[in-house]
Amino acid sequence: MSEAGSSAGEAKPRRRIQGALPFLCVLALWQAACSFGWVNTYLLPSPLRVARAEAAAALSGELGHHVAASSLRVLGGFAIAVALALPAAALASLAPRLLSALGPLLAFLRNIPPLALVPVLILWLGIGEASKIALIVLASFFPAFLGAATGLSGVDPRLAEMGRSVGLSRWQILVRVLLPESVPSLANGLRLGLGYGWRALVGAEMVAAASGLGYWILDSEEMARIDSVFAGILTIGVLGIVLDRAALAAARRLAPWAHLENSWQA
Amino acid sequence: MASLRLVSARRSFRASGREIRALDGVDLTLGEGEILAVVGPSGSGKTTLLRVASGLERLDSGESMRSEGASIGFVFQEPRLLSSLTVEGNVALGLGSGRAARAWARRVRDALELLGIRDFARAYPSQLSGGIAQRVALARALVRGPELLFLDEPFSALDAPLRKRLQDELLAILARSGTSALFVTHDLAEAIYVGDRVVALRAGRVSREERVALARPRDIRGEAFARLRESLAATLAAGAAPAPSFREAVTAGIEEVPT
Repeated sequence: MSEAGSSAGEAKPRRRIQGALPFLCVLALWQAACSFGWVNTYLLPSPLRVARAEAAAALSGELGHHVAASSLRVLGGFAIAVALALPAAALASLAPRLLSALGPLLAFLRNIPPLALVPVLILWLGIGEASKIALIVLASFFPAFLGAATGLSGVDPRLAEMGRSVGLSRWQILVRVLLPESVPSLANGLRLGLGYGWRALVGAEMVAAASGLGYWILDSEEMARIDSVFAGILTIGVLGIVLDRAALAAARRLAPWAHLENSWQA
Repeated sequence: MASLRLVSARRSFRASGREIRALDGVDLTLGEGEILAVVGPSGSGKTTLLRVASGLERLDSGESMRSEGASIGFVFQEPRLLSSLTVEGNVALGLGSGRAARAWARRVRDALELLGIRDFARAYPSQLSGGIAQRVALARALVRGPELLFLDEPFSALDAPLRKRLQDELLAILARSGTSALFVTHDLAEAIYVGDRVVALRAGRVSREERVALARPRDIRGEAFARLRESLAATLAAGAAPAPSFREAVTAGIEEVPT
């Protein structure tokens, strides 16, 4: 028991080192390229310069301000997307023929990049927060919906029959049998949705924003502060990973039975 | 105490454009407190019979009558446990929540005790062996104190010693509660061991009905047991090839035959 425990304990730091190693290699190569003059440092500032820009932004409060603005937009948009996607998936599982009939329309909508809708969203919703959040909703909705719909339709139908045999109503079967049993696919869909929402952020903040990481990147580019551009890009990447890990940890805590894999979302 | 009666029960499926009669005019009676074992080869219609008798499926024609208001329990071939619930949660499934659940809590504990699985109350299905999982399924069916219990080859996936133990436990529980049970199996020895009466089903029809006049506990190595087993085996072996089972028909992509 203690042997197994210690080997499991050793595996975690090893995995962390393995995960950090490619980052360290890329950073070292990047720093070397800048230090030895292999690249134009105006186009690619060194990691140290980027870190200094990041630290300055953090100390001035600028970074925190942009991170908070972006996070609120992403989480708000994602929450709306989930609030729409879960009932839609539940409806689809109760009426599979409806889902099948709507399949081509859904495929059509799913294949339109949310960024292509920016002009339409500005026209319809104005240049305020609504159009930015709508863009994130559009980016997050389909992965969340498809994850939930696939999970619900993938549950062994014999479990629903068992539910009927103990007297559960259709609604109870949905809530007590189908939803919990579809957690692995559902959690994957939600994590993907959150990732897609985060990726749509820069696009959303191109819509006449005055705050947020996307705005910071564009503003820095206009001010020819390439180090801050990279600092913004790296912050988006790091926060995306943090959000994904947090979502996975929350899903694991809420659904310990689902044995959710510690995989990295594509 | 409850009883059950099937009269001229018919149920058909369509597979690859061909009509398959899973039940072809079955007449059957399950008396109060009786254990009726239905035996037959794969595809003889026994699972369909159980499903229409329990109300999980409708008949094309004929009648299925149960004592009015009789509560039922169902044990499937596989445990069909919800991976999201603990053993306790699975047994309590459908018993309500809040005050209703608290009222049932003692019954749930008793059912776990009865099946010898109280120590597993907080375990999840992924942590259970096949035998324990099937006991949980049995507890789930018994916790409501059903007057009619339907069992679809409940022990077929278990090894012989465990199967024998669960058969004995089931018989003891049924004897104590007076529950009527329809027990489907493809195993003749199991049918004779468990049933007060054995019905042999072949190609959707009752080919023989036999009261098992052997005292309990039954000795499966006894001479009388062996004679009955051979005789029933001969009955089942005679005649035409069986029709596909409901499950086989479903896998083959059947359509329901309209009434």
